[in-house]
Amino acid sequence: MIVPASKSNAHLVRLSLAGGAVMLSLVVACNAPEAAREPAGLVADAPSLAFTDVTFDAGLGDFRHETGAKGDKWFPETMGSGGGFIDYDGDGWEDILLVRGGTWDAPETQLPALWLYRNNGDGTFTLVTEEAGLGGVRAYGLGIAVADYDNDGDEDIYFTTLEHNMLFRNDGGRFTDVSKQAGIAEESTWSSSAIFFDADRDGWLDLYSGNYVKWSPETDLFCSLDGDTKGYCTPETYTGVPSRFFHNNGDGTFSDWTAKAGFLPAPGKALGVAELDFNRDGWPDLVVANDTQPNLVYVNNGDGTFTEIGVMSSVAYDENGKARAGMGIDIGVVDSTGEETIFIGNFSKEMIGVYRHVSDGLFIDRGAVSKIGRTSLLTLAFGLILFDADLDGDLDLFVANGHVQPEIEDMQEGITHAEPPHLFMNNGDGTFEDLAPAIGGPFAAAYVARAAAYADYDKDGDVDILITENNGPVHLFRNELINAQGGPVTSNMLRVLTEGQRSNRDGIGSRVIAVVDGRRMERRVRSGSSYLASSEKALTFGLGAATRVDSLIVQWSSGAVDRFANVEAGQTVLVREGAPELIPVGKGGASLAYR
Amino acid sequence: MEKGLSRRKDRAVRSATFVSGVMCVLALSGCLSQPEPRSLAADPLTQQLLIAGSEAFDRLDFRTALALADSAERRAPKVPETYFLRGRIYSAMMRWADAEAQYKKVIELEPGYIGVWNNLGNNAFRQQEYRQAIAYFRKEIAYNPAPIPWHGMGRAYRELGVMDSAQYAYERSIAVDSTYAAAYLNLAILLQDEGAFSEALDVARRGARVRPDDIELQYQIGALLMQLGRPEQALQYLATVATEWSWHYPSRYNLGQALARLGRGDEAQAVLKQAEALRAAQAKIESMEMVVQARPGDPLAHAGLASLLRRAGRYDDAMRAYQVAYSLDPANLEFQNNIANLHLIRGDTTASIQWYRNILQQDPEFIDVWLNLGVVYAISGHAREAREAWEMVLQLDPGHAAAKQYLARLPRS
Repeated sequence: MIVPASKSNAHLVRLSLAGGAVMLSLVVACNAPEAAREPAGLVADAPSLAFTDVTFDAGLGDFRHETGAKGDKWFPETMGSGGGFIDYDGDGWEDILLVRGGTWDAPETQLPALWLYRNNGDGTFTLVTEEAGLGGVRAYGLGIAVADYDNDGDEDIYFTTLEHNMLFRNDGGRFTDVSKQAGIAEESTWSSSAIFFDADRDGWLDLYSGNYVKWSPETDLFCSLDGDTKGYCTPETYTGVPSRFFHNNGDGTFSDWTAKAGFLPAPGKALGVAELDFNRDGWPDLVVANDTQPNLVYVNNGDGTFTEIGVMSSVAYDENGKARAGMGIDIGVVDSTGEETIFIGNFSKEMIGVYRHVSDGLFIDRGAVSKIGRTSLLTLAFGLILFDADLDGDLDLFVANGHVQPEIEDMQEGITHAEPPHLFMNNGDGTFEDLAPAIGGPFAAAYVARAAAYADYDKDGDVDILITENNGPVHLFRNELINAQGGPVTSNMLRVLTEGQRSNRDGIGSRVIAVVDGRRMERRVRSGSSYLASSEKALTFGLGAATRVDSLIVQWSSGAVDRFANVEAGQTVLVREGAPELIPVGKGGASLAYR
Repeated sequence: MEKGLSRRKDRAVRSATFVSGVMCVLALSGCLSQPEPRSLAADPLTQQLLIAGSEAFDRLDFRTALALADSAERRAPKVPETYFLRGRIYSAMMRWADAEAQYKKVIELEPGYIGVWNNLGNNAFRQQEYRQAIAYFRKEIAYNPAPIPWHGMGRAYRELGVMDSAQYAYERSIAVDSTYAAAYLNLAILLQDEGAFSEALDVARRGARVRPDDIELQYQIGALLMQLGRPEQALQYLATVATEWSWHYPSRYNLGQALARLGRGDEAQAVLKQAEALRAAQAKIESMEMVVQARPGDPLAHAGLASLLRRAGRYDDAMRAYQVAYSLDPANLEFQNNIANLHLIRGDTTASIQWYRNILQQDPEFIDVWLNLGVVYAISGHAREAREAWEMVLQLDPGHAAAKQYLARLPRS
């Protein structure tokens, strides 16, 4: 914890400054005696936290998600859509990939299902769907997962849809649909979130593709809020479809190892999936957030097969043994215990689930005690992401909210269709405070939000947020973090990129630890997480006022460990597995050459 | 009758839109307490009719209760008790608009009638009109500063996310009546949601001291002890609840978790497996409750719910749902047969015989009912009547295997 005693207040003071009152910020910094008692070098400058909606300025204003709704109230219309970040051209600037949704019309009349925006490096984006080879993609799309599955140095795309999912191989910035030859074009089913991870640590990324329910226009059911008019159904009325696990054969193809790897039986209705390693054995485990079904915890048996322990671990249900409406998910170390905590978004009238590993595969539900629970009780959380919003060294939680029933306001007081997001700032001790209302700006507005993703798209050192809206626009929230001197925070962080050699090329599954003045900060390189979304794989360590990281340790999924000492703050570095030196990555470009 | 499972029920259904009404109809005694009718002011015969109507309502015989209320109204149309009783019956049948109309007639006759604003508040709550509910509860308190409307107000504030007001209302409820267990329970839950587990435990224990037989408070104490990391202490509370409420999966779930944390892995697995089966059954019930909420006038929906509740061992709730179905479709003999069966399951052989006989008057060739009648007579030790009933089965269906089997087991004498 960076600011054990005073941090919460520091947030509040900061917020009153957000929006440009830099002078006040200086006053606060000068009159913050508690800060002097903090561990040396960590919290001298309390930065001012604010976000700006830069969607239109960035050139993303022409995007709009389509549900295809014509009044039939078909279930999938409420669930999309996805989006997030991908550095598709390897220039070091995070580009944006959005799922447009779909319509119920004939495919030939539809617009492209994926919209790719290239980051121009100046805060703006240009639509490059056609140039990137994605212009011909037609589908009722839902989510994306992004990773370098073929280890060729560029980021590939897995695209989940209402029918057949698709895999796009990236060849130097141009995509080719390789779904069929890769062997992932399984049966037509409604899929949701997906994750690339190296289940068997063979250096090739495997794929877990979440499936939701069995639905088609022909099997659509009549559901109603008022007993008369048709409304959107909830998943209880449909049969769940188990998710699929595809083993990467290392030759560009995958094999369906769902049963072989222990992922069957499963109730289906998966909406979120994230990896972790709660037992610290080096093998990636998996948590799946299920909608109205028990969440699943897959512990890796140490050979790439899994055993499900959700109920025993206490992650499956709420504290009363009740299955909630699991949506998005993220996992991280958020307190000084060093144990991983799972965050799962749930329905309105259900708290966000907060499960911290205690020991031996047992978790404890900290929803209430974390102070996230009650605050999240009335909102419906879809995408949620852990990132260090204020660069103070601990992970904060952003939650994208939005209800699924447009008529909910007429039916139930206190609940709205569009809902403002939460930004739970970490007090450093595993308790949080929602500062979104105080931050205001775009966080004061209400959205029918679905996906949430993060990246430092403008390379100013802090981490920005992207959210998608159901039947609405995308929003890019630029983090306007400024330090106590009114300047940028580029010196308050260290950003780390990983490049595997024996491990998979992205370094996914690597555990990266930064030690500053005796304090450990732990992050995990991963894809997936959140809801239908993809965030950057670069890790951001907020350092407060520290000028260097004493020790940077990378535990690769291969088992190799790289250590670096006295790493200067204020830079982005590339860790190449086994390389003796860190590789600085310049603002103007990355050193991530294609293989 | 099942007590008000306030929070577990609030959270029980995914779509909160459907939740509260259905849940609370099943929990009239605790979650949405209804004041008893006050003393009657009508003429003696009308009084008798209303007392009989109230008794019929208490035993969930909604049809009879309504008929008696109608009779009372015909005799004395200006008696508020009549409309109050009818309002309660309609509320139990989820006929919200009808109930509201009855309560408003009460108010026309006597604005300060005890309980009427409270019950309007309950109806508004069930329809998820929480602000309206609060206004009604406030009005009730103005006339009748009792713990019940304070408690209702607390629940409505909680639904709206106004937690400090909810807490105040619960505290007022306890201040007005320190023995009102439901307020302790919901205050404890409110504090639990806040993460104040120790304070919540203290409140729950205070409640349990005044109402040691309250199973919900026992569960709450057990659950809070689990959250406080004291599984050993939680064990006894959870085991008690699991024994008392065989259908209650939360207690088994937490019991399993407690055992797991105490290193009793095999026992934990077994109990968690039981919890899982109960949870699956409960999920079906909740799904059906959503159907009932959407189609409160559909007798088959109520009957379907009743069937699930019966299978879960929640006989009182099942009886209530069957009675609603029956009141909506009084000619349905299957419903009547199910009610009779349920009486038998609950050990009331006299009532079940009455119901079977009544069905057979309507349909003397209802084979299943003859068979069941024989069973209940046999259980009651009336071998001759049992024989007659089963022989009637064979008369109607000479090859009926069960009847033959039963008859063969009867003593010759």
